[in-house]
Amino acid sequence: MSSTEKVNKKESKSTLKFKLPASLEEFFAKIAGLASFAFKFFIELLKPPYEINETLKQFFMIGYKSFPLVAITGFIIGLTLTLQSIPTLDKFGAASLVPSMVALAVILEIGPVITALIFAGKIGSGIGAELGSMKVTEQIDAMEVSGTNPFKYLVVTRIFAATIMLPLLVILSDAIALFGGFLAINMFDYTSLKTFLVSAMANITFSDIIPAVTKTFLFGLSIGVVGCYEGYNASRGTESVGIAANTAVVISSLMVILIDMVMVQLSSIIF
Amino acid sequence: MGDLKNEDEILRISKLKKAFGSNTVLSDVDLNVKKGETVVILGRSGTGKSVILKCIIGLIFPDSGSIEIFGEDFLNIKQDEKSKLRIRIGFLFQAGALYDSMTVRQNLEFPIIRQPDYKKSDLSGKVEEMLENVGLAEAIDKMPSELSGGMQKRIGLARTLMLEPEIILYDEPTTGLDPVTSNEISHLILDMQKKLNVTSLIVTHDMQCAKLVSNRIVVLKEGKFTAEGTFEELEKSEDEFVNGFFKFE
Amino acid sequence: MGMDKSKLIKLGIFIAAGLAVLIFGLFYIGSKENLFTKTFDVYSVFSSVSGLAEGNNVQFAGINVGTVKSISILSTDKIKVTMSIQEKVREFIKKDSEASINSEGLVGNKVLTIYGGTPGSTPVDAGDSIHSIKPAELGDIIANLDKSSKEAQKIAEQITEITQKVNNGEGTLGKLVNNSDLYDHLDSLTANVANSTKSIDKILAQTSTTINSVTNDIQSLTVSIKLITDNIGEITTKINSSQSLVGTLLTDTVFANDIKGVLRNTNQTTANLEMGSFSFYQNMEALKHNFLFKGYFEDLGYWDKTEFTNVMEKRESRILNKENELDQKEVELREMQKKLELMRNELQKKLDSLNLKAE
Repeated sequence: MSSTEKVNKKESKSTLKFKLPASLEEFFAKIAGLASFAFKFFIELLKPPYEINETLKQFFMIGYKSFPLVAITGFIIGLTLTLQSIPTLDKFGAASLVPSMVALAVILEIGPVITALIFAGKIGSGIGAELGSMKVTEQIDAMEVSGTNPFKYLVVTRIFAATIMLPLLVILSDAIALFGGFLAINMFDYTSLKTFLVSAMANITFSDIIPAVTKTFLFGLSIGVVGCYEGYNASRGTESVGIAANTAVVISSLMVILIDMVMVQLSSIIF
Repeated sequence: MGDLKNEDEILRISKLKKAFGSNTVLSDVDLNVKKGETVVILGRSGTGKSVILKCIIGLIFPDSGSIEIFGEDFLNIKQDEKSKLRIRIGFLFQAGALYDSMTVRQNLEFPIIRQPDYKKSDLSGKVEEMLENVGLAEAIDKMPSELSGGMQKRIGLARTLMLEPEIILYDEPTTGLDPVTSNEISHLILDMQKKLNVTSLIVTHDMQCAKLVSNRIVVLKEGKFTAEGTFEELEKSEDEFVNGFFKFE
Repeated sequence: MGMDKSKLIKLGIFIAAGLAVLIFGLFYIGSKENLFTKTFDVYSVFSSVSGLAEGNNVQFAGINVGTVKSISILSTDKIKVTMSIQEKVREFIKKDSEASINSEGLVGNKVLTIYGGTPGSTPVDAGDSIHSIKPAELGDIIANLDKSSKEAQKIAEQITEITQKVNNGEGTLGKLVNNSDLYDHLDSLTANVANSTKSIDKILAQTSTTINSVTNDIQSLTVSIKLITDNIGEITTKINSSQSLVGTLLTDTVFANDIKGVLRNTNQTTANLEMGSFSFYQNMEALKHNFLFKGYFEDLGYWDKTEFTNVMEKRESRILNKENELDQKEVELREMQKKLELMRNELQKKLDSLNLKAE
């Protein structure tokens, strides 16, 4: 790289009147960056033209391709959670509550959060690295100069796909986790799938399902936004691709946990 | 540069300034380019030659100065106006900047099908024609990763030509290529100019290329153009800095 | 850029599967919450809802037929529980059905149970009120026993009354006693009756204090009543041997009615005792099924003998003792019930034979 490397480095000096530690300044700058990025996403999402083909492709890449990983994780979590609960609850004579407990844990918390974390690891880093390398090899600039809106083509499609696909993945993962739980119970005792489902769903109400599904949209949105932001704003140089991917995973995982905390609190107020 | 002030000027840059932090890259750049002209910008690495090109296309916003393209004040127009102007400007990136998730055909189609007034008929045979122009018709269904650096640049040029720009900005078109391929690319640029009568602005260190394609050469030093002339004029220059570029001729 | 068809199909399957699971889940939960089935509301007023909450199930014959829609306080001891019940079971819930609050499952989830009502009576309408039954509690059982002892007291009083009447020479029997050769025997009978009355009175003084004394006292009451019946048997024999007075004696309505009254009261007592012992039995069952105690029973000797465990075991043995005690009480009550039943039968027999004679 010749001149480009130098000239594209971001200005690191702020012109603030007050003094903040450099790391804090960076932190706040990142918050503002993410927020304006998310804001821009919503604006561009609504403006035509729509990149329908690319969106479908991202649905496929982000949703369908993540399914095996999410399915395996969900299955194992359902299985182990059930296997570990049976002896404990049996001690209190409440073994019959195992399906209900597993279903509550999986649908309310473990399913959404674990799936989102896996998703953040796979998709957050994937988007971060992909957009990062496109940035580094000037592909994003190339789109820009050819009169296309790269934000619309690259960012909006990916964030939208992540927002829509994660809830779908969580729902499927929940179902698979419950199936894992069903198999685990059958290792101890024979239960029909119907009996298991009836007792599993016994204590689940809409006021459980609605916040649990709502938060997965927010998880998907935040993972998409962070991944795209990090990739889209990667500085030049190959190492920045790795940094973008890494930062995307770290921040989006943290966001998932934070959103989860806020949403649990919020839903306990609303419902 | 008084003699250049005529109606054919499609690009006027004046008093362009750009600094990155404390590092002033461009201090006072003035450049006018006439229609059909090929201007080569010479300068040492890291002195901001590419920055000029990126300011023209709008990838970098200058601190001050003005850029006028096709008679429009490029720095003070709306985004959609800017997009329309950009279509008339081609930009060839250093490494070609091919979209590596798409085939060569998709790469070439990409800018066309996203134009607001795109019609399917615009596309028929055009991809093949452009690939023919750069001599890579057989690569149409290959992925960019399967192509060599020189081929990627040629495909990049073909993609740039798809929108039939009136002015093409070349960012170091021959850098990193072997002399034979460099020569091929230089000839390709020349061919395109003759064939399509496009205006060109080329940033390069490759004197072979400069000699072959340039009508005029400007030399960038410390953020200003310090010398200007045809290849032959500058070759005879007494200036030590300018001479440095021609030493190894 | 573009998507080939196989990818589109895969994506389609993936999205359809996700949506199918979502829709299935929504409808499943919806049907559980009666969102998609037709329902109607009825209410019931309780003095206490014992922890019942909105959203708890409403059961009819052990089937979940609805949910508790709302719980509101009308006044200090009037809690209105509105339940929404599936329309399709409306025909089975009658106007005279009754509702009570019970525990469901091991951890004591509350459930509102509706009991069937008389077959053939009119089904409830939306907005109707269903009569509530107070859940069985220990206090109620003691109250029931109290009632039993009061009934026993009534019997005793009536017997005293008869005796007094006989003593005072009221009615034909009185005259009979005063005038005939049966006098002596009747005199001894009255003395016996007086005796038993005293002992019954004594019993009754103690009944309400403890269940234990109730048991013992009613036992001695049994003996006393047995004596009475024996004496009545004797009277019968005498009557049999003395033709001239029999007619007079047996047409004496006062005596016959009084004996009938005694009989009725005995019946009532038996019923009360039955109720009491049943309530006891229910409580015992509840205790046995309480999951905490169940855990103690099952894990006896399973955990380490830590201090905590020892304390818990001591508590547990106390609970076990209580349980045995209560079991015994139950058995005693049942015995008493049986004895009273026997006595009743005997009295009935006597009465029958007296009636026979009268014919």
